[in-house]
Amino acid sequence: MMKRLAIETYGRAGELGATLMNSAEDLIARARSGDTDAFHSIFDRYSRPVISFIYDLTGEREAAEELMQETFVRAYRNLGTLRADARLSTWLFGIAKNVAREHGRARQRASRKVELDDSSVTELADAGMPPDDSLINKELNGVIRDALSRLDEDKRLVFTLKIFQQQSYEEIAAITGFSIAKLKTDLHRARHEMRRLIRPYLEVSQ
Amino acid sequence: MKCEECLPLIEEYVDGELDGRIIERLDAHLSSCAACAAELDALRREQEVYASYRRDIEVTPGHWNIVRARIEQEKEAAPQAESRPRFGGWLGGLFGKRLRPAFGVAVVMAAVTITAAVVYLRPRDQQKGLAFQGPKALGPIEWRVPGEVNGNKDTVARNGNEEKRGDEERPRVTASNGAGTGSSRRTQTLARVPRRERQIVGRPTPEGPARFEEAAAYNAAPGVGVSAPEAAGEFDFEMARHAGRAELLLRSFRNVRPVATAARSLDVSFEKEQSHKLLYRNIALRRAAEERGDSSALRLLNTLEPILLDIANLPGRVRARDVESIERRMEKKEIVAALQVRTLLASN
Repeated sequence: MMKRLAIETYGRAGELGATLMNSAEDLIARARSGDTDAFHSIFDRYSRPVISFIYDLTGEREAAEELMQETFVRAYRNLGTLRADARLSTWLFGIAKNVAREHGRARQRASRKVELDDSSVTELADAGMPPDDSLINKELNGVIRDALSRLDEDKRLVFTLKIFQQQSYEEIAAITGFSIAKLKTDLHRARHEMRRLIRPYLEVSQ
Repeated sequence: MKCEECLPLIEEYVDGELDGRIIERLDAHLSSCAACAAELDALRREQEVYASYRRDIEVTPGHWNIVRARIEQEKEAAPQAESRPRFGGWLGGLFGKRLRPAFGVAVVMAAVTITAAVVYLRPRDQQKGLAFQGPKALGPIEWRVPGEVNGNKDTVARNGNEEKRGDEERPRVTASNGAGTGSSRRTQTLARVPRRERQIVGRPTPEGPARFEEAAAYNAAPGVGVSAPEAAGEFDFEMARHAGRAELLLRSFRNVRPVATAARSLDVSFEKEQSHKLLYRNIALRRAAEERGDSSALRLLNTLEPILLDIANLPGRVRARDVESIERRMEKKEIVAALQVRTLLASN
């Protein structure tokens, strides 16, 4: 009986040890000391949500790939600043948000200038199909992506973090720096706006 | 619980943000109110639609390879930066932390005093007609002028033609770089050359100094505001010419240095002006490339356009880090090399 109990205890301790070895805290500690493999594990674990998050914010695939890489390079560089009580995913989303925002501002400056100089931009936008037709013809993913791109920056940020990344209000507040009241309002309005934009698809799918 | 109380809480309910007591009251109301239950169902259906959202993007091993390479690069760079002798490391050690700011102020004041003394005590004839010569003991001002590039310091090329210039036409300073005389003596010339010429001709580039003839041809060439070419040969020719001009401009931008030794900001007004002109041309050519389905030209023009925009949008006097940021992007996109290839292919 004693022998069996010892084996069970040993087994649990082994599993516990293995889990601890791969816990976020352990990976961070090892990565801080220069262990690239540990940082590779962090990358494997979080790169998918981070790239999805950035893609939802920017709507550009190539940019999302580059910005995801930039996020992890910055994360590695600033591992020392990660507080012990902070969640790794929250911290990474915070960096990704900053990286995507910087990209968005640079892009906005460039497009604003092109719009002033290049009349073809407005011509192309006006010459497109009516919204109703395009909604019917496009697939669901395209419809959602289009609708996301029409939200303003704050609402898109909050909506993406809550609906796609399943972050809590508290975590969203930590990532964005918004108050809980503001993010609740933004999320409510974003839902309303998204509902309006994807309504034709919802009616078709029902 | 009433409907007015329930409805505002439904989103938080679906988000899992309510505490247990409120959830119990909400559940009780939802089980007896069909309207609120329908609202909840609609919200859940929406959530299901969002849950089925798939993005056409994947993380590949190549992404990690790039991240790892950049990390390794930073790791290698970090010890070098640490081992580099720093001012504070050896001299700063002589002073306590409290005395370091005071020491810095003292150094600045000493520098100002010495400069003022040198300017005041300088012979009158040397002060005449010169903006700033600088103390001879510190060596000559490093302006390279076209005449020097061509191996003849007395001849300055201008507007594509070489012309002899006398001292009376443009004030010029000739200073030796120290004690060296005879064949070892290196003489440098500071001439009041218009900035346009200095920017392109005078800057040494890694590939050697840009030739003045090119610069003159660039400055004199027409082409701004020309409509997009339609014939295939004409398009290629216009593309090559545009690529050549853009290459020259970007090389010039890459070699921007402070206008004077004491200046902290950089003067990029010439590059801005040229970028504006090239931008219009770039847009016209991009449209033509789109119509022709020339993907290679389109890619090149699409890469070039934001860089031209950024240069054109710079303020008149910019900080070094603003220029460096654009230079880094140019380097990352390898735009200068791509433009060079385009020009070379067209000339063959």
